[in-house]
Amino acid sequence: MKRRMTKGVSLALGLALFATACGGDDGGGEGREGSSGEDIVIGVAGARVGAIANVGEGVGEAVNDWFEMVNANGGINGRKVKIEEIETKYEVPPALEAFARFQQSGAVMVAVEGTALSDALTPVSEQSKIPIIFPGQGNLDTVDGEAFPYAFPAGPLYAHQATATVQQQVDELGSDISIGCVAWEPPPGREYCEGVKNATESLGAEFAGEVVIPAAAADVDAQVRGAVALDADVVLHAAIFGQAVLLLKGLCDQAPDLPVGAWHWAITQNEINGAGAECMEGKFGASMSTLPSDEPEAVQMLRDYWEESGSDPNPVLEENSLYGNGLYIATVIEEGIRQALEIVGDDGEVTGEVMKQALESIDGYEGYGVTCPITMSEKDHSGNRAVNIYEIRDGSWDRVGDCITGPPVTNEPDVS
Amino acid sequence: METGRFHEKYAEEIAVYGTPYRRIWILAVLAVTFVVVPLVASPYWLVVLTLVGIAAVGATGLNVLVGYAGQISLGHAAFAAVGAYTSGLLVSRADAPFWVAIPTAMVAAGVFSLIFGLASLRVKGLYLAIATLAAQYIVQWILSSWTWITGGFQGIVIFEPIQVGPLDTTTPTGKYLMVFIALALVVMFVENLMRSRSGRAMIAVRDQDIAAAGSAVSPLRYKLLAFFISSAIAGLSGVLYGYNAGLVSTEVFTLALSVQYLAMILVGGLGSIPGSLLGAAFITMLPIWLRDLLPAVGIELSASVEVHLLTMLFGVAILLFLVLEPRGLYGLFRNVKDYFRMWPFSY
Amino acid sequence: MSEFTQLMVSGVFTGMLYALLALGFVVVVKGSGVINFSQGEVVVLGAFVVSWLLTDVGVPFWLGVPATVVVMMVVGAGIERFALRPLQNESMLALVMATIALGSIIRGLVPMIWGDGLRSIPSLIDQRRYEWFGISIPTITFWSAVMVLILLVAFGFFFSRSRLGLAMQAVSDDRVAAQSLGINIRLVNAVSWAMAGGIAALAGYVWGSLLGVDSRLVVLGALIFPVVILGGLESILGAVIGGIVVGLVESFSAGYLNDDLGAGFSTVAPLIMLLLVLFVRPYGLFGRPEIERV
Repeated sequence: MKRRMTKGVSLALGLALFATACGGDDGGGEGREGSSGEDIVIGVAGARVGAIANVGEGVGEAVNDWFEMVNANGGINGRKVKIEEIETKYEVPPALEAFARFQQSGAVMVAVEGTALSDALTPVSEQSKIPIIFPGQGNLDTVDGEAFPYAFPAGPLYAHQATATVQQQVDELGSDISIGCVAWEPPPGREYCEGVKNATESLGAEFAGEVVIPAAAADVDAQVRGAVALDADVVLHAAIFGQAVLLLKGLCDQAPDLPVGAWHWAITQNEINGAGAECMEGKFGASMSTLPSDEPEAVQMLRDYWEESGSDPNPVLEENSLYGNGLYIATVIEEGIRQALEIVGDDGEVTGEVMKQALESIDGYEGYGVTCPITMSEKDHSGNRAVNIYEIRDGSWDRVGDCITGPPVTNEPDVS
Repeated sequence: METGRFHEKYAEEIAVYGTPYRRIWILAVLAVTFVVVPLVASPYWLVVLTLVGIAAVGATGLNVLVGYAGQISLGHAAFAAVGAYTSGLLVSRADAPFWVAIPTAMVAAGVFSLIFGLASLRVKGLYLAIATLAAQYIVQWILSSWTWITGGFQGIVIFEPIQVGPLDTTTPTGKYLMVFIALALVVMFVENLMRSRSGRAMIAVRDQDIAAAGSAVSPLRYKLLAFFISSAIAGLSGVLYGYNAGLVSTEVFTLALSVQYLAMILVGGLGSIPGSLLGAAFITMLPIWLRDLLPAVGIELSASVEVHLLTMLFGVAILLFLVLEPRGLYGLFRNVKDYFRMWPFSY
Repeated sequence: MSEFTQLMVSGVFTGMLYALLALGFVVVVKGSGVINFSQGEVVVLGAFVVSWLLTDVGVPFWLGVPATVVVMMVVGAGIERFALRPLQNESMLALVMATIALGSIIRGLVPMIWGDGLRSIPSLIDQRRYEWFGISIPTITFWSAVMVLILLVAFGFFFSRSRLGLAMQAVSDDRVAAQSLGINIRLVNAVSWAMAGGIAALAGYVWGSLLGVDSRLVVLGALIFPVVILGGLESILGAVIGGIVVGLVESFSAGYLNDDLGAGFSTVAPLIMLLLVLFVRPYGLFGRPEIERV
């Protein structure tokens, strides 16, 4: 009986292989891609729930608001943009499903939130020839456009944020300082501290050491003491949300005069509300975007649109400063589409491959005052390596550094 | 007039083709799976079915442990990670061919799990659940801090696509076939395992360990065996995951995944292979259905509310099945089938 | 040396907070024999309720915390009545699964009611740390440890003096014998779950004050197991001592070992200890050594 079953299975397998051979390649190209005059579909792999919920909220709201406005004003060169956001909970299997769904809807580009997801979608983006963009996240290797042709960081990666912040501190305080780093244990945090170490070495400052906060740590008392014990002049940290608040609270208690700086996922109202305005006074952080509180042109445009259309301003704009990073992503998408239409003509068919070419032709783009100048090429997908530095004064963010770029990162692929 | 199906001989109990129709059914399912679906399904549905298949492999593996041996594991995602990283590293660093790497990865996942099994299965009770919870956290920690294993902070291991004749895992069809071939092999293995002495020994230990020990069936040995097999299959699902996505990174194999595997077999049906498959399909596709169908009937929920609602529904579904139909979806299906088969004399 | 003392003192005090988490778990095992995988989630629920009462509703502390305790006791009893009692005669497997399902329900329910953001609990005392002899302890940790000690004494009296407490002891010794002596098992089950709810409310208040309140607090659930495996699944004193040992292991490994073994070793150190204890002394330091080996 067993033999018969085996026979059945092998028969079926044979048939299956035969079927694939005949069925041919129906990967890619099946969905209606943004052909002439139709809406251009952009996928957003959202993460409003789970480990990076406030990133997901800020980015998701901003991208949707932005294209609602763009469409209401007649679209890009007359073409409307359809944003399709699918929630992934920051989990990989749902992200793979979401990507396939985007492909089916004919999406020509997908914006991804979270390093775990941008990593996971890199191979399928290449297989299906649909570019993914993930400004402000992702791993350093993806700057290399030849190794990862469909992955576009299009903004400062974690190590870049670190080197730029160190650069600003050295500019401010001189190179005779020691800088310590507190890393969040998951990869982005470690990559950040590696960047700090790199930059201190190449700028002639001293690296005081690294303290790591475990991803699942309930209590960071030991890490706070560790950070104080580094005896550094400045401490930079790459913690997020609850752990960032705890760390800042702890440092305020144990070393009130220590200057503390943050990576760009930790300059939010969460930290100010959680650790208290008094504690946060004088703390600083990096941001890849111009914060909404600076009222860049993009924010003005949104406010005008809301006023004209009589709709209420989105409260997330005020409540979650990561909305600014969302505007960064939205304006890069817009510019990508504009370049694509440049290539194929206003009624032409936009495909993933065209989008790739379009993104690679972005040159010196400033995203309505939201982004530092972005330039990408076939080889260099980094976009820029610059951040703004903000310091908290009187409970709100005050810009003290404009589009600062740090020294090159040692283990970054050479894309020059 | 049929009033039910009764086994009169022991051979009937363990027959693969319990009824003459069963053989036709199996062939029909195989034909649909391997011929019809790859020909007619859209790439999107192939992707979804591939995810279902990967989940089904993991769930079938877990069902060997929970359904047949009566033990709980909260660490199957960790064992999947061990499998995925072992095969990925063997291929990318040692240039091993995939047909060497995959079995090695399964054995590695199984052997690794035995550390936790040995600690907890010697004690009566559900200590394995606690030990495997520890395994989940320990593996996640190893992946993110021992960069000399994973090769960098992101812990990224690239899976070179398998390209054998027409089977090419860079296409949705290729991925689908790879996963369902593996699933068919796993199902065949587990089905046969349960007809063997070992499988029946596991069930005996689950139901009455003292009696089993009295019949020269060592409870520890068979619990460990079930755990080993179950974890090795979990390792295979990790490997499949890697080939499907093209790479693995440290943040993939989380506790949430382990709990989802449990939900699948509970909803599908404990101790039944069709149950594992049904449960995997149900749990994987429920979010998609909710997302697509709720707006169609005029209910617009924000993305986050929808996700939280789903998390809650998982819990509610498990509880309802536990209380009302412990045999799960497959049990429901059987009830309905029996009702109609014996109609009009259903009881 | 001062580094050593500091690590030890913070280890002990943090350990008392772990004990508070574990107490709720132990009470359920004692009263109803169920290994509860949802205690972490129940604590999160308690933290959200107390934060909602104190900040949104604006109830003063002396009313808000006891009110949360009462609410959570009702929740605990409700869980027992509606989720576990229908499974009364099912296998232990089904009961454990039911608690995992409950955890899932609470994880979905809490952010549906209160959103995904980070909330806070207003602190009662302005001073954030005590400094004694060069050793620094967060205020909230200190007072929580005091509370744990009071609870420990109260439970000690409850289980050795009160009728209900003795009944619960009897049930945890032998359910069938207890039932045949006329002890109301349903009542004992309900009371033990209600107590677990009440303890979760206090734990939620304490941990929420320390860490801020959001759904990521569920990671606390995993900390319970090393504590109870070490102390014995059903020993109250064991939970406190287990908590302290886990606190010490975590504190010392964070202080001395992290750099050598890989960053973040302190979070898994208690789990590795858990495995070792399972190998050597599976019934814990204070559990009853009657556990059967197979």
